[in-house]
Amino acid sequence: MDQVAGLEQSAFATWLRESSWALFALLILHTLTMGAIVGLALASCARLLGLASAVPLPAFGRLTRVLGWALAAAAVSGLLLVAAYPAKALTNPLFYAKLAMAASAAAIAWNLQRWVFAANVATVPSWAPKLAALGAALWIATLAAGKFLAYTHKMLLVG
Amino acid sequence: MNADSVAAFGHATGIYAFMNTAFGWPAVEVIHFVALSVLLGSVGLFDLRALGLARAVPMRALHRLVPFGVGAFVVSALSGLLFFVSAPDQYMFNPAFRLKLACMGIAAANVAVFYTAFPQRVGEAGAEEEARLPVKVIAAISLLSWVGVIAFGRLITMFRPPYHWCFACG
Repeated sequence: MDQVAGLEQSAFATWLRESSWALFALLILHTLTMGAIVGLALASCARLLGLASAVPLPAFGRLTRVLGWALAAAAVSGLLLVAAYPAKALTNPLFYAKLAMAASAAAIAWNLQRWVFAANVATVPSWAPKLAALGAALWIATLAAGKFLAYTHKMLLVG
Repeated sequence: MNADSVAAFGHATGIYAFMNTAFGWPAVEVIHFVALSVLLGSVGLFDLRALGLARAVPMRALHRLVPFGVGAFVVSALSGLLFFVSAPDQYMFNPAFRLKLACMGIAAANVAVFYTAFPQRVGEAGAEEEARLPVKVIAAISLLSWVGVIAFGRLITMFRPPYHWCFACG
């Protein structure tokens, strides 16, 4: 808890909390990128289930590459949000569930991109739609966990 | 329409009571945001393609995802109404909420222009073809409007209490 308090009281974390714009800029970036991630995951799922099947898989893969950028921006903005209120996140078990689900969903997205969209396969492998559905469900659960974090935290600040 | 009559409607219909259960508000937030995500993953992708991303994708094929965006808009509007009815004073006077509504209005007018003025151009760009300039302009307005809807929605909590920030309330 001392390390959490140290991070919380650092000049950077204090600036994030007290700035009139920084926290909201991060929240907007995190919200937009999480929205893009969930939207792209659902679109991938729809494509692999046969909707918009006229879109060639490699071509669709070029659209879903945006997911990588969105994921990077969501991770950076998320880390900075944790830095602003470390105790709020790190003392809530739901935060660790959110991280585990996001990591699993990201691994699924990477595998779909690597072995389906970028692999020049002629037809969709039978396992791909199920994996895509699991990935989309995990992203939605990640998003839901993020929303519930604001309502389930036991502590806002250490000091 | 005033805040008191909207709040009375919320109480009379049980919406207020439901939203103030332990997980009512965040559960509706999740539904609202998943619907907005579907909009980004359907209409937003179509816009990005029109603007030149992944030209190997034929626009007509991608357009098959757009009806899901329309459905998602209905879900997000209905779930948004639950927030509004449950705490009308937090929204009616809130500049971020007003800007969010303005972005929604622009997006709606933009869709109407797209499908009435350029119906033949919806899917005219095949694989490796560039969309025409009017379609690109409409796609850019659409993408910016939906990003605005989400960004201003996130900013609603910044303007508390909303009365303090309402410069048009007199």
